[in-house]
Amino acid sequence: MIKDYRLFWSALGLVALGGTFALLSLGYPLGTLHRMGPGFFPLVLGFILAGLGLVILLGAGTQTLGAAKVAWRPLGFISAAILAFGLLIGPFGLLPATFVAALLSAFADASSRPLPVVVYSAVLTAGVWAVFVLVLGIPFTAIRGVL
Amino acid sequence: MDMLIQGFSVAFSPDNLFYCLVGVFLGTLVGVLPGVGTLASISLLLPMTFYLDPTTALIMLAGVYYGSEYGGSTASILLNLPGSPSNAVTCLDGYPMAQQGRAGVALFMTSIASFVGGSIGILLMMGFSPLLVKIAFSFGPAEYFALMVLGLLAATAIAQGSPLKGIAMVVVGMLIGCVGMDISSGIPRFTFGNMALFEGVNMVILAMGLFGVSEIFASANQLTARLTAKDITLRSMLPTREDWRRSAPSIFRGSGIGSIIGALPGTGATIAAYLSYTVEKQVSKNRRQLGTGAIEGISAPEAANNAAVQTAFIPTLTMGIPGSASMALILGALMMHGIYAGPSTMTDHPDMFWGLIASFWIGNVLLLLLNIPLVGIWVRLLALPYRYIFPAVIIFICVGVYSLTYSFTDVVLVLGFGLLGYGLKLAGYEPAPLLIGFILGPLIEEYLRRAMLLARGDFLTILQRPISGSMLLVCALLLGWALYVTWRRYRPGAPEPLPTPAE
Repeated sequence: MIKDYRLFWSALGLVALGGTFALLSLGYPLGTLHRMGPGFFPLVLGFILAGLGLVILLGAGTQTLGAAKVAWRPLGFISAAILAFGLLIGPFGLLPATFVAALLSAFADASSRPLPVVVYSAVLTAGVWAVFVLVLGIPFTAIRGVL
Repeated sequence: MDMLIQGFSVAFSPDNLFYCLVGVFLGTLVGVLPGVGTLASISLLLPMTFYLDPTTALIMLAGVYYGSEYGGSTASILLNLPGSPSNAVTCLDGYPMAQQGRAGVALFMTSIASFVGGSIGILLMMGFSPLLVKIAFSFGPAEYFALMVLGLLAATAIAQGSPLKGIAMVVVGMLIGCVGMDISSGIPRFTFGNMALFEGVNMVILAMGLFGVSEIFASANQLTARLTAKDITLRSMLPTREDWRRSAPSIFRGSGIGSIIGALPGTGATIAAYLSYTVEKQVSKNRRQLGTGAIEGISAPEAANNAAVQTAFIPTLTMGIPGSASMALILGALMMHGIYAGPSTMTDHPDMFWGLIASFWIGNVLLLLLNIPLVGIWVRLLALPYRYIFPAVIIFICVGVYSLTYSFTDVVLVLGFGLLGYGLKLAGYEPAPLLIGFILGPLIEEYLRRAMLLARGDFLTILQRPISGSMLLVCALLLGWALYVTWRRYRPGAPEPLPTPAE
């Protein structure tokens, strides 16, 4: 009898996580209570977490969290922006990566319009250059091959 | 007193003064803007602190922390939308005041209340820290172990919506904290042979993901409330004699409550503000008017939350026990500089300790200037749509994370932790206890090992020592209470409480 699947799966996840850590801990020397080895503390923690997960799991039968509203639009655009930043900064430098990431993340808001977003991203890119390169002096390649 | 003068000479050095201003300015900024929290902004600034002297870093991060309490009331009053959770109560009377055309007076009075509350908090910190240090010096590993476990349990069991879920998050954090090389034996744990994990999971990346990225996932495309430009003139801010007379006792009551609550583990500015409002409802002369725009309803909670953020530094700096996630982050930032806060902080780093206290005074005066004559700037900022704010935060996170080791992996990790944090929120878990567990976990393990070594493996001796024994007894009671609360909620039909946002 499961009333709330989010509670159910998250609690099951906790049990699994605790169990995994406890299992992995057995691979390290446990030591004794007197001289604890590296495996002792995580083993105990793993058991505690699995136990807590089980108690929370019981609640999934009677409780509900209400309908979940997943913010798909921000999830998609902002994840893409962060990945784009990471992928572009190496080969192209800080400024192109910033510009593209700003462009992508701005569209997480449904009311964003292309032209203001381009202007905004350009301003933000200039700001990043001013703050991180000019003021803080962090050694970034601004634009590979140019700056 | 000599120490304080020396502290001022540290705090007045150009670097420290500049970063104190940066800290309180940014604090006010993130305080004013709904959707950018204190935790997120402290994590955002962490990479910058690597380039600073530890004292300067501490001054700046602390400035953000207490500065945000000043700014937070602005949005509460003008938009009926708290800038940070601890200012939520201020909406109750602040917004009605604004509707009655008294927004200026409300803004002025919250700044004054904040200043008085903050000042009383700092005075208490100066007075009580040396006393607490004396007590803390008599503590052995067993006492520290018990105290930290108590702090962790209190921080989650009291402050969060569902205590059991909070405790589960702490344990997850402690397990993540185990990743990396074990200090005592040198054996790498849970690294799967991956060299990047030898030094453990990076706190900066974890905090930025859990609080920065996931907060944006949740609020981008959601926050649409904004102010239609309205000017606050200095003249409209001046309170009447009546306002002063009614506020004064509330401010002192709020400061007192806030100071006590702030110094306790697990209870922070948010609880302080709520409690002081509740007290006003009982004892204030005008208690019937509370909720309809009574000035007591903004003075008391604003004094309380500012007093609380100052006294929160007492247990953090004298014993190394942070009461909230923000304090844990500041503690973690010090650890990255190789400074482990504890009773010896005051004697080993007197410049840092007293320099910080002196910077509190300077910071509070700066905040008064920022919030009264310059209030117009912040008000205009509230007219800025959120869609112009969050991309800048995302970029700041990306650049900050990348600057750590210049690796793509770190950028992916921050996104991963962001998704984790958002997922946790959706399932009704708060990420803040996870971070506290992550930071305190390795310390707890270390103290436990040392205590057991001294006790020759007999756990009973830890329970028999009066201080550690009684603290562990309180822990057991807290755990029992958490289980009881959970059990009661499991009865069919009992609603799941909404998780309260962390500070």
